[in-house]
Amino acid sequence: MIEIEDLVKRYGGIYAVRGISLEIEDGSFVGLVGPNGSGKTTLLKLIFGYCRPSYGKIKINGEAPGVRTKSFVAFFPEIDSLYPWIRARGIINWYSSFFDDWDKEKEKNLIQVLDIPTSRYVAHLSKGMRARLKLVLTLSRNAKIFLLDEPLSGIDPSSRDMIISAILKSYREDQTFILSTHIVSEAEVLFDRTIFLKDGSVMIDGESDELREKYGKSINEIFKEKLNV
Amino acid sequence: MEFDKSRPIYLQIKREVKERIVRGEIKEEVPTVRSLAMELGVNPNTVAKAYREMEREDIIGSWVGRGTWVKDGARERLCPDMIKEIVDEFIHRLVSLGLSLDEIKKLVEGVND
Repeated sequence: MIEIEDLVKRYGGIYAVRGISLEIEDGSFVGLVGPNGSGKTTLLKLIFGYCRPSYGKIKINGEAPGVRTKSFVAFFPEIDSLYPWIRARGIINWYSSFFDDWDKEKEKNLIQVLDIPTSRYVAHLSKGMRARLKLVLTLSRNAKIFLLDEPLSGIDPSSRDMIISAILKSYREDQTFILSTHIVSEAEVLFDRTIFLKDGSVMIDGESDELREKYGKSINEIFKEKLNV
Repeated sequence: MEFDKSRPIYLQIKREVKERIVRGEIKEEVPTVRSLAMELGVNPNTVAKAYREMEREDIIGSWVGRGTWVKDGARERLCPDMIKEIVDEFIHRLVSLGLSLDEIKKLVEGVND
């Protein structure tokens, strides 16, 4: 369980997150949606422990984010930091050595589902392929919590379909997934809960099907409508 | 199957499973939550919610370690409900286009084969 209380993150005079309180149950698949600059990445980084809150608290299974929680929290960063002079295979092997919960079987399946050319150098991979490779690095772990930051943005539609399908296949009902995106339409069937962020605050938070019922609209349409307010 | 994303997904899954039962595509054993979720490309929690409601409606039942099964007589009970649902929807759509019930009756009677 992730508990967030009155969370604030300030960079100098700029508030990236301004007063968020949330509880996320184990086993939920949460869509974190919002325009660029709404605080999605900052919130995920705070949960992972890349940065510390200015105010407020985060507890993951009762503990503050840190070395201990990182052993069961996997993070898919939006930023691409793969070394270009290494082959895809080499990156996977190197990366896997850091994690006790690395699952060789999952790795093999993901390489296949995501169609990774493992013998190619990272420098020779397209942007979509690099995103797919990063996903292998994230999802091959048997972590309890997966934080996926914009895995769908800036990616060609065929890679996007592969990524959505790989995420769906790897999700187990006892794991928690939080996926941030500003591309809602293709991904919304993955979310059993959707949290809309705007200007660092939670604007709407609810079970996706209840939101569809309440507004008579798709999550994507609600998102677009709220953006224009 | 394509979902209408402006309506709750779990309701559409319920309807799909009920139709498969009526059509005889699901006879006894109901697909596992996971396999149906993968087939439909949706979150397993959404399928689980649809199954929970159908269990409450006594259409399916699950037994630990023995999977999920169609309840006895469920198909026979579902048929009239489903026909009524389709007829209601059909009439509702025509009425919303401005047709009267008499006109709809004449249309139906005028249909050959």
